[in-house]
Amino acid sequence: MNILIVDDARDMRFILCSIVKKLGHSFAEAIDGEDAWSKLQANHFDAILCDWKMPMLDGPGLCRRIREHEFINYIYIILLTGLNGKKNILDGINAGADGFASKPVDLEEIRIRLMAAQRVVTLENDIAEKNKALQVAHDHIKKDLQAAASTQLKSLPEPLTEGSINTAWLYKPAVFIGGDTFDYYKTQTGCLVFYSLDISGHSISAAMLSMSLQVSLGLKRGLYGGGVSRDRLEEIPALFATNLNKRLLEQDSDHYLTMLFGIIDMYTNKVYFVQAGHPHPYINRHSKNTILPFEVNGFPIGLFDGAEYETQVLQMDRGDQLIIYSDGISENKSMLNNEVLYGDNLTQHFDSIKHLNAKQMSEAIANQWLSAKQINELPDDISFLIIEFKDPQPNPQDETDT
Amino acid sequence: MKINLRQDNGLTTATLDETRLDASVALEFKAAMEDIISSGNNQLILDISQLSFMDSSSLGAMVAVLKQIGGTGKMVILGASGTVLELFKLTRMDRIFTLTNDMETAKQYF
Repeated sequence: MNILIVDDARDMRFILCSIVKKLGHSFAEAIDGEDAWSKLQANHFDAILCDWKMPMLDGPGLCRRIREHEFINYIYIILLTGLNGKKNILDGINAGADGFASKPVDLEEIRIRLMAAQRVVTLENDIAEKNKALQVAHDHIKKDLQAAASTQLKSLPEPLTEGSINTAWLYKPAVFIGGDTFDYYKTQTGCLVFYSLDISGHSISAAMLSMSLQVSLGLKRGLYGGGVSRDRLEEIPALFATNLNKRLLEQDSDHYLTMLFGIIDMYTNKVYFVQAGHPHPYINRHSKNTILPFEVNGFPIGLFDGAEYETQVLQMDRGDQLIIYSDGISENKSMLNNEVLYGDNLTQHFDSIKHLNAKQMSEAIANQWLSAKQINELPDDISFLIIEFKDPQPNPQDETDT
Repeated sequence: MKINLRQDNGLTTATLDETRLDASVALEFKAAMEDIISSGNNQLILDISQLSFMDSSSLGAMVAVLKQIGGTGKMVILGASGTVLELFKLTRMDRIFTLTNDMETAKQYF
């Protein structure tokens, strides 16, 4: 160890230095507390042997200063004392001393005191090294997760203004990356295929499954049982859910998912969808001035072999909105009334923003319902997909007919 | 995870002494229930009447428990109410699980 010897008496320093040297340690000397303090700033010491009474800054005073300061390493302090009595010992410990040696000093006592110091210094250095390694690993994982989150965010679709549709969305993961995802794409047959899904749990593996599904769902025509042709719109959603259920069970992963998958016929504004355990979607009826949950239930995907699914059909009109979301919102209390965003309270919240367009609506959810603090500490992912309907698109087929 | 067990004539009542079942405790719940079942309690009433919140990960755990009890045993869920019952309905699990609200009816399933 490198030891700092602090004593205002030159002869005492001389004795201590010769003992420490004999015991095989390196050392430096300081003539009082202040001198020791400046030497501690300039050099690395593992331990100090320090007299109690000194001019300028005494032993306990130096102890306190060392403990208040953040040194890179732990400095083991042995106070030398001719003072007897419990109070002095307690004062020393209180000031931050680790051990005591009595004056006059003898080699055997100093040897044993320094052995104790060595044990603590080794332990402290070991812990510091492990903490440093942990911090490096932690920073690395955090950076990776942030990069993954940015990849995940980039994989989500751009808001869409196409045919008879406008879309807007809100996506906030619980911890960097999430198990929620959604997507939509236009077919050459004038349809918009869309889905919103939520993988159970919000671990990294849930996020990976969510990403891999997001990448493959649009492409795996096998799950659709063929192309998205207009005569199959009612058949596809239920078939898709059945096939995906089978596929997830075959993969034998620990995860399952809730989903709302559908196809919008942009020539008629009819929505064909399957509800697989996802929260009830909200329907904003412009002409009736109402916004209400569409209460249809369904089995989640990947829980039971042979679960049956059915396609629902909804006729939407100009100005109507379809709001699909995951259950994560319902683990939060609203900033507006401090009540959980679930059931009637969620309906009331939607009712107060039903006049807004899709984009404004997604902003209101993020900014008015939840605080920035809540969004940073979400217990579960939050995702909303809002589809807004305009006039149906003319069917080019009809034009050729006429 | 607190689950109180009471055995009576070969029938076990496991009372879940928790108000929330979410992703943070779902695995713990599943493991605790699996222990209970594998130590021979396969005629089981699971009392969840104290539960006021349950999320989809815990529902998955509940299904795993049901699958474990499988063909050899039987499990009845007692006292699902409010948002918990709504989650069972939303996910059609009310068709998979045997749900009831009173102990006498629950016993008659065995």
